Amino acid sequence: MFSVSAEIYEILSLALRYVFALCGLLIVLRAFRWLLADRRETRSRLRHLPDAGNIGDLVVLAGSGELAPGMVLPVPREGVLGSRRACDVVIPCPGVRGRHLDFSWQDGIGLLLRPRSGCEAVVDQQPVNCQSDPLRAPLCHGSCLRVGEAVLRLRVFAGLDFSAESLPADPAAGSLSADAAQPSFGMPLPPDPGAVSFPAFDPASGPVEPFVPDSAPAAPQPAAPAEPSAAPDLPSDTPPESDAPSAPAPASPGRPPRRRRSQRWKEDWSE
Amino acid sequence: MSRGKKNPRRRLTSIVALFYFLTFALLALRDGNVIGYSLAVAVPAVILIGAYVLPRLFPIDQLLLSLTNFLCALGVLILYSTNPANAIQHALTYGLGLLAMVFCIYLVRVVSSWSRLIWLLVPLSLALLALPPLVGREINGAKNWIFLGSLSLQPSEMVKVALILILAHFLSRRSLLPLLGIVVACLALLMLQRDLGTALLYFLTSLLLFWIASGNLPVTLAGLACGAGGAWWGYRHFAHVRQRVAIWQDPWQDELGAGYQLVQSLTAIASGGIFGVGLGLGSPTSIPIHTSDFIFAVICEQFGMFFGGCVLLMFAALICRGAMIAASARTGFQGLLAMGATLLLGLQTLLIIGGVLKIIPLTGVTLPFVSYGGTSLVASMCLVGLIQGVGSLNEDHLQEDLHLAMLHP
Amino acid sequence: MKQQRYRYKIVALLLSLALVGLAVWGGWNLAHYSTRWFSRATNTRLTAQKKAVTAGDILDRNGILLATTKEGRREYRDTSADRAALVHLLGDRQGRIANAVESFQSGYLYGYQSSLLDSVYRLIRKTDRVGNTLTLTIDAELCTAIQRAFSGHRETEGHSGAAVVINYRTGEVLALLSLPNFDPDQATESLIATLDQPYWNRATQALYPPGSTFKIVTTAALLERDPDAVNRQFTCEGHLDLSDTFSVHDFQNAVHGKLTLRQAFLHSCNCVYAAAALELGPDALRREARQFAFGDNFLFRDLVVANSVYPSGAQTQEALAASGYGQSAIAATPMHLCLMAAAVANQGVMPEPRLLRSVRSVSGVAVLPWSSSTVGSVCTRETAAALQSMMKDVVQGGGSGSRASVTTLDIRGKTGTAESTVQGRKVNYGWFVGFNAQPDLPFALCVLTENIAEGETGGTTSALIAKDIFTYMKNYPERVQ
Repeated sequence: MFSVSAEIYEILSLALRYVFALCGLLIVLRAFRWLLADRRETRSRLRHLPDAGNIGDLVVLAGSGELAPGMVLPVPREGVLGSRRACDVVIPCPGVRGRHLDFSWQDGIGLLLRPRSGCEAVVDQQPVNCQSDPLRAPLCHGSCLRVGEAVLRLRVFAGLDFSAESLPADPAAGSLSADAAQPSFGMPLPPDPGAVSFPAFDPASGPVEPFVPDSAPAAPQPAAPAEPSAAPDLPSDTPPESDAPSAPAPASPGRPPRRRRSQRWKEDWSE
Repeated sequence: MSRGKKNPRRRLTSIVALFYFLTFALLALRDGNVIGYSLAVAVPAVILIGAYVLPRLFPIDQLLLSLTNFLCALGVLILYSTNPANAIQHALTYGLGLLAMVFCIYLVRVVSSWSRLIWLLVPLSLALLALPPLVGREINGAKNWIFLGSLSLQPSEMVKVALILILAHFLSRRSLLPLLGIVVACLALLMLQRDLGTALLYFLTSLLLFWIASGNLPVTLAGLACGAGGAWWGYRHFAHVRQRVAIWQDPWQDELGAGYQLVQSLTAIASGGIFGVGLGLGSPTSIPIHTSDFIFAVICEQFGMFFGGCVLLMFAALICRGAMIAASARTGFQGLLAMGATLLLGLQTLLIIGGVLKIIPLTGVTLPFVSYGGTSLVASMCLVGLIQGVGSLNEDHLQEDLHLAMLHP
Repeated sequence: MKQQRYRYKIVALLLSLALVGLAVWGGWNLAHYSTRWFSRATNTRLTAQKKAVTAGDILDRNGILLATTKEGRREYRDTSADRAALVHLLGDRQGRIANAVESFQSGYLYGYQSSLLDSVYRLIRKTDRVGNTLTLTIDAELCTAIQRAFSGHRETEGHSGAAVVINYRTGEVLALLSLPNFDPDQATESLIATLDQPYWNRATQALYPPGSTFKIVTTAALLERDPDAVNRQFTCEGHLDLSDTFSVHDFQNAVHGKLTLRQAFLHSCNCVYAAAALELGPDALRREARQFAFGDNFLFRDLVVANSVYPSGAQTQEALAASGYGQSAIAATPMHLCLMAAAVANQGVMPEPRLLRSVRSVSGVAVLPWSSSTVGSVCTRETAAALQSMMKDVVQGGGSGSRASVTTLDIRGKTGTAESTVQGRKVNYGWFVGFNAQPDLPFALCVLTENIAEGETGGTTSALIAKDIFTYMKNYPERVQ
């Protein structure tokens, strides 16, 4: 097939090496520009979603020091709770160690707590320490947590256990959005607990009933099987997080079946 | 939102395709055979298809895909300029690697209980690492290859992927003792095989990942000190380590013997200059191991130090992207997984480029994606697949949060 | 989690910076070491290139043809003396002289990095492949003249030695000579076997004790500490006893009595300088030596020069005193001492020695543009000015260097006589470093005569050669400018 003589090839090659160097430079510049553009875009998306990645908040019911009752602390999916500022949930109270406990959200179960060695916490009257099994005392929506001198109540965002598609066409969703008392995603509620129908916190009383909006088909419930609700297919959330405790994650009885994701990202990933 | 992504992708892909078209066309002009011309058309076509079609089928991170495409095609290019058969082999292995990458993406998305998988992987990887000293063959002073018929495999590369999963799993649950045991066992087995470069890589990755997960600087520094102590002990007791350090300090003492590889590599880089001697010119075959370990010296000779620097920056972009994905991960395990894979690729690049440029002694690891080895390429693609799996999960979560937010204003 | 995210970013940043650092390091290494790596004999590219390409011509600064290829054979200058004078510079045929121009610059000589224009030119004109033409900064006639001078004086006839001449403004090397040398065309193996290390380029590769020329550095150290030290009073009693075994003496046991530093420099009084070194202390003297590039890793672009040595580690009092007048384990090449003189002449800025004036390809394109650069600043302008005036006294004020003075030129310098032992034998070296302080002939030089007789000094041997060199420059200014 067609080829050129060695001299002409040499000339071509010598001439093109500058072109290749320029190409290399352009490739690098464009790759970094793409990187930066992506970062900017993700940041701007996150800016519209200040609660992205969070599963809810902890409302301070009683605290001392810098922690005033009524303060709302956002809770990410996974993190560390303690008095240091570098923690994900900062409780600057006496009795709370620098890094007091680790927590992680488990779909269908709740917020699992793992206190560090020498640290203690009380979940709905049940004390937990570093030896206890986190699965036995998960923090659910409406549960109370006491660490040190602080008492906090967990408020989980709505829609956390079910995905979004079903909701617009879902009759159940209509009732959800109609419920103005629903703690809304993305907008922190006023700290006044009277706005939602929380039962008043009484340390002497028994375990608090988890706050279940009447129409929410499958609010997170610790042990009771979740009824497959009126919603036609209630998909579970993202694939269960992989930070389950040491025992293999038990498939909670009656957990709604998982949905195939293929349809979803076909819409989202096409440009 | 989607429009903003189109532009950077299009611009990068177009210039990458143009670059490869020009280079392969030039080489085809030199050789004048069918393979050359077909590659000049096929490689840009594959790059374009890969950039536009694959993301529609699978949840792939486009920037990472473009970067790996660029690097693998660079490998094909350099291999073609020295030996076309290697280039075809590398391209086919890349196809296999893409399958492996997609497999790993789904693995990350689909697996629900990692514990079972991990407890399966641990004995498997230890067994794989134990194979070469028993049935393997020695190549280049390190006994880390096993042969199945005509297929040669490097178990230490395959175990890399498993190692990242194991590390991320145990670190995210903060159960450090089993982790320590496994890592020490792996390192010991690698030392047996005399594959010191990979051992160093495993060690550094584990240590850095431990620091990232726990933030415990004193323990990390103690581990580093132990490693330094181990290296010192190895230096005192193993002659080949001493030899490597000696030729690192002055390779010209033994120009034709032990220092030959390094001397030839340095000579090649020197003859390349800033812009290189030109693609297809020069004598890259005079560099020993020019297909795998010293492929960077070939790049510097033919394209120049400037382009070599650009290739390094592409690896830096890969690392930045991996770290970005890790930082946006929702759970600790996913973040550690992505970061571990990124760390492995980045440290491997650092080690080999440092060795080629005589900054650190030669360690015998290869340049990811660009070097010729099949197992190495597939393993690197698996690592990228793990990163992309985490990235796709991030995207899923973000979309969900967006939908939820739009639904509950 | 937040902290973990933060750590991801830190690690990624560190890794990326490390990669960028690698790229930068690669570039830096390339800039400094590429010629050294490339011009090795094991470079197969070079051997292949030599088969395909005719080596280019080498010219001196005035256009005299120093080396060319005729009918496949490399030819040098016509007369035997001319060839011998340039053999260490250009190289012999077998390549036994290390880092000579023909091997070190072989990349340029064989046109390895041929440019695009060359290839096009070659294609159009259909000529054979010829390498680039190198024009050196050397004046070949000067080299021959220096060689003649060495054999012309009774005191230096037959002695080994070296001479380096540099333009201290631009760094151009005018002459580089090393004796004994030989005619690459006619010298037989048996003749070469009778010579003392004929393949060594003594000017750039051999290290010698600098002797009294090191007093320049000691004086600079004193002046940097106290600018008025020039007029400080010292007392010389003819000997300075430091211990039972070691005592400092002056040349021929002279006693100088009370004298200022300026006079001590003039008479080259060892006792005063020993005392000065003890007063300065080991750190100050070492620091000043480092300033003067002792211990620097010389990575000049065109030349390979051995690194000079200043003893590191703790020094005994005796060694420190001896360092004051350059007799301890200090060692330097004649090139370095010439650069030292050039630095003093150039207001304290040491120039980088350049050998390649221009490199032109066959098509006439300049491949390497001329550029001069500096090694760095070795002392302040005031110190340099003070040293210059002291060196003027040495040559023109009745000091030890008076034999080097030339009328109508402003010669300034310093002599040195170094004692050493080689294989158990006592050997003396005679040094003269100096420069001409006139702006139209800005040249510095260093002359070394090895193995001088008892009673001879640098001022009676090397200074004579220096005078001849300066006279040549006065007579033929157009050749050297």
